[in-house]
Amino acid sequence: MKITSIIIAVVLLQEATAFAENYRVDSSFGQGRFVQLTTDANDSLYALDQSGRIIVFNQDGTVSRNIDTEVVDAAAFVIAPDGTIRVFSNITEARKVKSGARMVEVKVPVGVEYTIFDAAGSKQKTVQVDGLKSVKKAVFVGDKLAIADLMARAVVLIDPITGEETGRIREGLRLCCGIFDFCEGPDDTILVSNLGAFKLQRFSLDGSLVMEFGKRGRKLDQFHGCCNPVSAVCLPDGEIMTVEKDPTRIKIYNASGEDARQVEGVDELVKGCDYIPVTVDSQGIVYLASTTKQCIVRCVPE
Amino acid sequence: MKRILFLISVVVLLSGCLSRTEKGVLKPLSLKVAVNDIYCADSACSCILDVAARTYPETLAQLAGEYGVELQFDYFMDSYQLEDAIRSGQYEAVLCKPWYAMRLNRQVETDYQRLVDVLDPGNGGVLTGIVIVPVDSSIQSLEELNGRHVFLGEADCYEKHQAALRLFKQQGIKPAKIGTNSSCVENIGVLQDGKADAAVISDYALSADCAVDFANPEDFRILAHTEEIPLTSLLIDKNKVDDQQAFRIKQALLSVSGADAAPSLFGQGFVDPRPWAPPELEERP
Repeated sequence: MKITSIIIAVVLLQEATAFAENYRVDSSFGQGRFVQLTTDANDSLYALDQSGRIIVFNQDGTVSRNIDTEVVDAAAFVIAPDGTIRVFSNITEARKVKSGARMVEVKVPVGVEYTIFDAAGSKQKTVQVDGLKSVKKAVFVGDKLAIADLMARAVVLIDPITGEETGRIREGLRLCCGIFDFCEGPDDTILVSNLGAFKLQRFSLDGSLVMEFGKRGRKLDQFHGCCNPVSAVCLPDGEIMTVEKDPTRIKIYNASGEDARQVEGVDELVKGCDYIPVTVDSQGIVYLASTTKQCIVRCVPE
Repeated sequence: MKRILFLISVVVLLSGCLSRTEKGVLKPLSLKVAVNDIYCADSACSCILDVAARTYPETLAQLAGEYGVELQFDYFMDSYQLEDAIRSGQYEAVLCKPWYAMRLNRQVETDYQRLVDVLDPGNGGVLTGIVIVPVDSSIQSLEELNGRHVFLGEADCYEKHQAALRLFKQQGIKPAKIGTNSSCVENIGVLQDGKADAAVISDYALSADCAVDFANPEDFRILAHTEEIPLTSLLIDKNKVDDQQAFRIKQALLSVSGADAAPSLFGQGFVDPRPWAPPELEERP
């Protein structure tokens, strides 16, 4: 009888740990409506808003400095290994499209340019990127600059020095709701949040699928909603954190995409179909931006 | 004399239920309603907001102001959230694909019954599953799915699961392998990836679902439709709402429909429920 009780207790404990991950969640780390987040080599958090302003935060959440890039409709940014900052924006054309019974004028992306700033925030130059239609996110992966082009439905790889395109990842990408997120994976790979397929997929830089996991469903290891996950990061220990929008759910999988556990304490970050930018520093501290609450949520591993 | 008194009583009773009432005459009737409506901007995915533009506040205000029927809508984008809401027992009514609620009746001791159907923006009210193949597939007919690999929806989606299985049974179709995916976009995906020969999706999936962002209707060919079932209904839990209240709510909903429907409904609103008796509910013990 006693053995049975112990077995039941152990099983219950295992269940409990499967649904919890120990993070200290700070839901009011920084204020603002941010479109992208990243961290630098010193683990400082950089947050970009749509007006092109970059806010650099200290680890206690206070603002270290502001960089007013004055890039209109800033969509993405990246910090290069040499400390320079590239702020990406879409070149758009006004077009009239039918929306329901009405004709509305929308700005359609037709190209991409980026402006380079030195580490102090001084503008260096603006460069138009050939072959890109739009930009949603940019990340350095190995010696390549990877850019999420939603209009082309591809992660486009370019040589950051020459600007020459070196490859595209596009096979099986089912992107929707204007969301297109990816992050750097181990061994020069790219993890794409393929939300329309309810999958997280890892690709090598030649476009080959290395690993994938995910399916729509109720279970913890599945993704719910109309399309998810919207973003993800690779944690320093190799595990993968996925982000689901409404209802918000933050989960951690092992490197193989198994053993899902939920991070407790992160409240609803967005209402409806909205992107949730996420980044992680070298210590495993995760930052999530809520456009609905206009704040940054910090998750510190304990 | 008795007959006259009886008739007067009936007229008085009906007038209390049917007519637009003066404020304060009828006690307000309040219901909490869980909503998961494909064509409603508050419960649909943002990528289809051009077709899912319906909003309810204008109609709710009309129901409350003119009929004393106060419906408190809580919107759920995710069908799993809706199911959790039903299971919570906090709601007296739901507005959704009727199978979502009806299939749970025996599990959670509710008695959800359809009160009215909700018309879509084209004033249709039916839903089917469609059996699709890639447009360049060699498969030309349903019969050719014998021995093939087919993906269906899961059991919570009637039109692409139960109705599809019944279609196959009726037509004598025996696929070699049947897989299931929860969402239409996954089923479209298996066809795009060449991982199956055919798939069953909801008939709105290529026009009012996330698939609009990455799949073109012309890339697929429809082999067959499953039976017609109601698309969206307002169902009331008969364990919580009595017949008189149900009658009053229904009359109010029908009164704000048709030519009188608010423009924000993008359609003519509510109609009498079309007959539908899923045999799966009858077969259950």
